[in-house]
Amino acid sequence: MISMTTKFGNWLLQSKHSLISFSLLRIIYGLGMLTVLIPSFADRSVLWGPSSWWVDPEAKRRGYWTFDTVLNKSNEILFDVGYVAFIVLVLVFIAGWKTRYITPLVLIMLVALQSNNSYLTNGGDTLGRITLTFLIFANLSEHFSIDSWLRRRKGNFREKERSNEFWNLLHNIALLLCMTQIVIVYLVSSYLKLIGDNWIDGTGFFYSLNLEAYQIYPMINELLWQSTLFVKVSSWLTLIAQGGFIIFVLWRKSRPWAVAVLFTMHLGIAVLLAGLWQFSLVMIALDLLFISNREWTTIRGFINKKILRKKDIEAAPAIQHKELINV
Amino acid sequence: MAKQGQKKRFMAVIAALVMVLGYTTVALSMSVEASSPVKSALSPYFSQKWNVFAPNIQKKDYFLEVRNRSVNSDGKTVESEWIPVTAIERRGNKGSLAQSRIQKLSQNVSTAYLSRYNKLKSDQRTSARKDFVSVSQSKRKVMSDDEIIELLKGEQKNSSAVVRFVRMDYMLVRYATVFTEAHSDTSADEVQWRVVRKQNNDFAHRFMESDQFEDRITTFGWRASDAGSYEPAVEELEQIIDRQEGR
Repeated sequence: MISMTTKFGNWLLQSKHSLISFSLLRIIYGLGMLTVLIPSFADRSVLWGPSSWWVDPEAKRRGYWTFDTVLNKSNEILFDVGYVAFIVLVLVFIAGWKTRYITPLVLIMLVALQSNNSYLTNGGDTLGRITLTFLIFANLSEHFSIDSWLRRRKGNFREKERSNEFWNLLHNIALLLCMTQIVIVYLVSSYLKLIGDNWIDGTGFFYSLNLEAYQIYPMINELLWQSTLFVKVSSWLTLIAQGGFIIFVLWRKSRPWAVAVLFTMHLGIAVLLAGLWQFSLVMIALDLLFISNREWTTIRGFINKKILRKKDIEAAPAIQHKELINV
Repeated sequence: MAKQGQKKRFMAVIAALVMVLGYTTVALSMSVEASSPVKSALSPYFSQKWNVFAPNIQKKDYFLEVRNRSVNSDGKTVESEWIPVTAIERRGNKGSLAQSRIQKLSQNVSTAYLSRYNKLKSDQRTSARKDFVSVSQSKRKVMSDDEIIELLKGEQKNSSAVVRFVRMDYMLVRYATVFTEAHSDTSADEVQWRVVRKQNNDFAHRFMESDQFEDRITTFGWRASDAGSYEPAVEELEQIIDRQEGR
């Protein structure tokens, strides 16, 4: 028991984990937010701005601090400035500049936007908002970011700050909370699917393709639901992948494959079902958190060796050896 | 020194366990239907539902349709055609890989509205479908909020369900007013809406030529249009309708 506490305590305090996955999550979350903000740009006033005044009797009853002045509904110009500022913030977030300060600002904007009209949010928006609250305390910019590029240029003078035990603890708790959240999503949704008949016999999957509300390319959906084999196999794969998620990700060998299957599933949802890019990208980003830095290196080696057929595998500049101790 | 390190590790483990177990309790209580003190305290921010496609999956498409009526220069009452709000909102997004959220707006509003309507008792639902405005002997009588609540409440004691329904009803008056005005370019005295539910043939009957299910339509009574509507919204909606309709 003491040994387990010591081991877990060391895991929590000695270094930050899943730094590559967190950096990828930052980019994917940002892209997810852009898939909402950019296509809705022309309709923004009716959706979240002053012309959505008619939803206020409900929107004003959210029950938490909604940062109303950030995306102001009482003035078109102020609202537009806020909306464009949100897009710019998301772009800076994706680029990974001053991420520690930008992340809370992105969360404030996201809460303000979602609170302006509660009839436009889906599971992806909710999941994004909740996990972004945890991610304020995580290091999202160790890789693929301007922050990391600047750090490399300046040398290791911030090494002390990065290895601070307090920040390591907050980062790792944020990781655990995000993992908990995604496990809950899979467990609850697979349990609900299993207690009904609709997913076992393929009806659930069929209707998800057959509802007009979710169709982007009705012809493709129609082509797919005509095949009994496709519908049945997809239904069962969904049930197995979601229901067995926790087992598949705990077993190191099956972990990348489980994540790959769910990645494909969510990409399929994004392409085939309307309005679910944000949801799919958030789910993909959270799935990736289960892959450690060491596993990313293995995956990179596998891709280089087997797919790209490279003979000499060198560490990419972004993943230096000293950073790989943070697995 | 070693003792201090051990204490630090112990405290870290406790902190992590408290956070993870605490959040698991919160998230699971949000995901189940039953109410609990934890759920009511934290539900606004951490509220989450993962039952969209399970166990009772969504099998119907919801369409909101609105129309208006007004008295013309000859003194005759003129009713507009039903305007398919949801169909218009969705039209321009077909074939687009990343869609505007406009395509979900009236569908989500009408499902939320129907859900509140279904929480009313049977006689209250009948009252909810009645007109809240009447015209007799050239006299127009608009029911006040209190009168509407009184009418719906009747002998029942479910005031909160009634108030929640009336609040959404009022929202729909506002949206129907600006939408019909934007669509027909005329302001109206009264508005009305209906929710159409369409269900495609099920999996076993998907190749059957005839429709397995009939459309279900719930039509609500006439309501006095919103006199204080936000004028720029009409213009914004006109632009959206033009874009969606390809005009």
